[in-house]
Amino acid sequence: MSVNRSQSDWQRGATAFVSSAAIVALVWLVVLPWIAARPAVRARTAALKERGIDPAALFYTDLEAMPRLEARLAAQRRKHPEAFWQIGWSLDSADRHEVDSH
Amino acid sequence: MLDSAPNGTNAKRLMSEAHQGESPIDDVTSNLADGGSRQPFFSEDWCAVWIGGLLLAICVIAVIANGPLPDGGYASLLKPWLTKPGSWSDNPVAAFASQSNTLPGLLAVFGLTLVAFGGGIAAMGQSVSAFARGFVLVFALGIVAYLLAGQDVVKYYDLSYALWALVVGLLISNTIGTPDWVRPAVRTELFIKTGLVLLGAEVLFNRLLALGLPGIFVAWVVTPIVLVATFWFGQKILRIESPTLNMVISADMSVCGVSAAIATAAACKAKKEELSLAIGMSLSFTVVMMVAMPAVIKAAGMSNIVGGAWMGGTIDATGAVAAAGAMLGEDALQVAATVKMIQNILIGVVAFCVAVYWVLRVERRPDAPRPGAVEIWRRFPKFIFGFVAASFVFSMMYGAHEDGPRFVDAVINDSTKTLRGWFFCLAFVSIGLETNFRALARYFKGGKPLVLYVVGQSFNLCLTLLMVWLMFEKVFPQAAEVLKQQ
Repeated sequence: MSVNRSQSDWQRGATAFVSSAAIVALVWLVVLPWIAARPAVRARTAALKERGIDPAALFYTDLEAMPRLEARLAAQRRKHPEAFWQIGWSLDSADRHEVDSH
Repeated sequence: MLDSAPNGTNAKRLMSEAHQGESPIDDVTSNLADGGSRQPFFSEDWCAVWIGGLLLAICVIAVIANGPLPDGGYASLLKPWLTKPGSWSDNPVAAFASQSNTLPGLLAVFGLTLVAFGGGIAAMGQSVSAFARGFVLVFALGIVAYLLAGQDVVKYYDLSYALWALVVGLLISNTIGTPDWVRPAVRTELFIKTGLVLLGAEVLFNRLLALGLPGIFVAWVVTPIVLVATFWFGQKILRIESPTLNMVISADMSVCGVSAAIATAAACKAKKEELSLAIGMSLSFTVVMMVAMPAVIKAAGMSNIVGGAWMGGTIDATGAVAAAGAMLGEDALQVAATVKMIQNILIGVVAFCVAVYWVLRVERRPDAPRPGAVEIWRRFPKFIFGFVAASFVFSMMYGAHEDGPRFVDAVINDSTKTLRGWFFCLAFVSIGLETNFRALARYFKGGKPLVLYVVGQSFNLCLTLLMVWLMFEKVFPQAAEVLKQQ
């Protein structure tokens, strides 16, 4: 904090700080909880939590759902590895091949 | 295309701004000082590498020491000791009460970070006690930022801790002013670069082929094209004065939002205000896109696979991509999150290429000869080595053994990602504490950053949609069929 700052400047700053903090407190302690309590919002946030989705995730490792999604994808790749690499490969022919082999 | 960038102008601007005492993430003058230091291996860049490397080693040892669990999995001994405030809906106390270990965990994180960064500060020959005094407030503000970000509604709209950390810092610096005793702990560069070294451990190249060729084309072909084209547009058409601002917005918008912005800002030595501006814009557009895109996809009758891949390639933030994908269905969520994961991995390559390009082209004076190896080494942001090395070592560990994936996942999920989150949070608190609102406004002059973002994102939307349609409808339609299966 600058020592040259005048007393009135500091008072103005302190007032601005207290007012801003009060607004933040009002929004976070009253407005947002009220919105969060709406049935539609509550249902949406609950559904996301249940599926392991954090919409504020910064990186894929922050997503709880990622291991589940990766495991599902790995199973799909194991079953049909050509599907993601081979142009012209068809699922129908793979199914036929599966039926024939049985 | 980029060869003809106005290098001379950029070099002059960088030098002149360095003289005016502005605040780059790591400005030209401080980099030159690194090279001429009597202890070059204890510059801020190298300290970030040592601290990050040491913490990664501790995190690996904590999993090894715990041994394999009876179910064949792995867990870290550090897991109960590394926490952050949790989410809450109507009572903020719940953020500390949701888990029994939250408060001891916060104390442990505080102690660990104080010791780690205090050691770095001591190695740089600065006062540890002055740092420790200020760090108490910086860390406390970090807790407040996590608390604000943890409210369910705030979280739902992807307004992450990075934004609130910035806001909390700005609130103090622009009202009562940042107290002098806090300033020694306002270490944006050290926090960001150490966080990036830890992030390197999460950049696992083994996951690159998760979606085969379609994934590579959507995430690794379109993204660099959009990044380079947006940067070129900003330099040549909009003539944005600051190439670093141009690059940070381009990377943020084309790669993966906040994490890409942080990595490229540090790689090209952008100013803190430029990083703040890019992140603010990105988060604002992300909120709109995560709500609008699922609606547009449904209205257009697009398949979930095409829609999911389109959102994964275009919505900036990883969490927002998952939330938007979930609105369409499990298959869309899977494709969207996987495309974004592949894009996440690109940030290692982008940060490295941007650092090289900046050293070789942007910072070079027009009359100067091509820099030699010594000069390149002197200017190169050294933390990038830590970032790339962490990515390489953890990718090797991941693929080297059958247990590799479970082991690496335990190291990341139980320890490194929590620490990385804290370091970025402390970095954004620091940015806020040393940023003036007026300085931020100056960068927005003429609305050019906004135009750059809108034009770049529009191009991104078109090119990604074209590539997704080609890949999943024309070239690999069978991949889309397989992805639809349960």
